[in-house]
Amino acid sequence: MTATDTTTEAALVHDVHWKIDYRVKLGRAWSRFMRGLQKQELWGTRCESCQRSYVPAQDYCEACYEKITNWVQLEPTGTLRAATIVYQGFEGGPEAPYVVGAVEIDGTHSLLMHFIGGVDLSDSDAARAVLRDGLRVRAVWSDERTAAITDIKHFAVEQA
Amino acid sequence: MKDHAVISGVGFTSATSPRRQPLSKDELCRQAADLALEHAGVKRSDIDTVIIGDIAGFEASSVSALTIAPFLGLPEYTNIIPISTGGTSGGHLANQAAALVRAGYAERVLCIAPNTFDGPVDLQAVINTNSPMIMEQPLGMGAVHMGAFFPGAYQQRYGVTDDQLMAVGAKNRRHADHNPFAHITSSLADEHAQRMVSTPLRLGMVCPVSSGAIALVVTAESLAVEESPNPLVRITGASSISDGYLGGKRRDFSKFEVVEHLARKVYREAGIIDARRDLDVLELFVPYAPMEYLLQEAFLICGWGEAPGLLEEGATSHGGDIPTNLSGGPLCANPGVAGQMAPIAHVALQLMGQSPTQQAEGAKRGLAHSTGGTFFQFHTATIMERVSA
Ligand SMILES: [Zn+2]
Repeated sequence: MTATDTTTEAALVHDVHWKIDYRVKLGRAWSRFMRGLQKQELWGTRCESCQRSYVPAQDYCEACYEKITNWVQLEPTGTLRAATIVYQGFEGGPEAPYVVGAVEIDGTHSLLMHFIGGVDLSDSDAARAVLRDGLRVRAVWSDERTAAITDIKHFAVEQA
Repeated sequence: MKDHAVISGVGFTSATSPRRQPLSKDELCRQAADLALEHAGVKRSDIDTVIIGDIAGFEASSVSALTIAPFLGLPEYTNIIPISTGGTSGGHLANQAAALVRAGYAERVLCIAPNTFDGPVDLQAVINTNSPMIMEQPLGMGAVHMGAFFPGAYQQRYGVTDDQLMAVGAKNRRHADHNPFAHITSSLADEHAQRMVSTPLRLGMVCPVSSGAIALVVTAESLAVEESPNPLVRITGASSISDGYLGGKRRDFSKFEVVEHLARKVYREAGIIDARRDLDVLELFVPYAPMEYLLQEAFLICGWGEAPGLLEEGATSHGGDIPTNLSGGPLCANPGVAGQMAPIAHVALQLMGQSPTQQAEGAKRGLAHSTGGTFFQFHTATIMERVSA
């Protein structure tokens, strides 16, 4: 069932590098959602038949497959449900440490993933104690906005 | 149903670190295929269908199944089926082979699970490209960061400590000490194991990147009963499930909600009524140690939040009543698609009474699981049962 190779000569390894650019269409619903972010507005959609709401906005309901035409503007505040402090990132990613979290936007049922800012990460245990389910957060807008998810810079802990 | 499907042969190459791997992908796959055919007691010319796993976009190749197939020396009329479902490709190989056999489309299927993670220079960067582009890809997450959300939420809900999370890693590495195909064992130094990667995941809770290949032969039971030198291991349940695409669709990160649905579906098919009583061995795809708890609970082995207690009482170690990941699982070897099919291969050998790892004495029924995709979108489950006396 097993076999081992006894080759002693080192096997060759060649470097392969691909650099490929793509263009991806966002479609109508996500285009409208992103244009909202550019204007510092957070938009979701709500299904008329089952009342489920979606952020990011989408134009059909995953639960009942009805078309959704009901757009609702939301306050960019919410509650953190889960998060991780990244100490080891990756090539081309943000510089660690940083925090990524899942935020339940007020008045919606779905979670929006985003960076969580404004937390002191110098003490890992103290930071973990802050980044708990129930933490209130508010979107901080980027100065330069390009109709992208990063038009929200991050969600920051809301001061009481 | 025309026939049952049985796993009649298993072939493993050793798993090693990618840097130490002298063989190409084709060479590894051929070696695994030769071993599986020999174990099943069949010839290459007996194979009518080959199913080869792939992970689109993870390697410097396109549809590598089609470049591997010509190296396998199979007859010219062999059907070639590539399967590319990301982290569940490996789990799907045997499940699809069983479906083809049961449907009467195939009689002897060779399943090839290649090494698939050992090419990328920075695997987390590659996995980030697999994250939902536009909406979540810009947010700095590779697989390990996505994997960290679940144990964080689980800890908070059930008051589980970091040490309890690490205990799964330590248990699985102890198991791996007895697995000749493992890449990481209990020799992992504690100072490495404790290094924080992405809270609450430390290095000792995170799988390595390994290189290796695995092959299986899945045969129609009516043929295997005549030709197989091994006890017959029937695939009695095989299914898969998908969650939403965006990470935010998970809603409750303290559990794998869709896995509970998958469990009920596959248990009904296999006639499993009480999972802890009816199953003798589990191999769960656990690239991040705490997932073992969440998966045991979703597979109805115990109640929500109770899995750490099972480990502490020894139930999930060798000698316990529900030994889990006797191979060590992906924490000890994760060679991509091969790592995903490894749970099926290890359970099959346990049920044959031929485990290369510690044998679960008298094991009759087992569960194998695989998962992958953004925030573990996809899962597969395979129930196997020894039908020979
Ligand atoms: Zn609806």
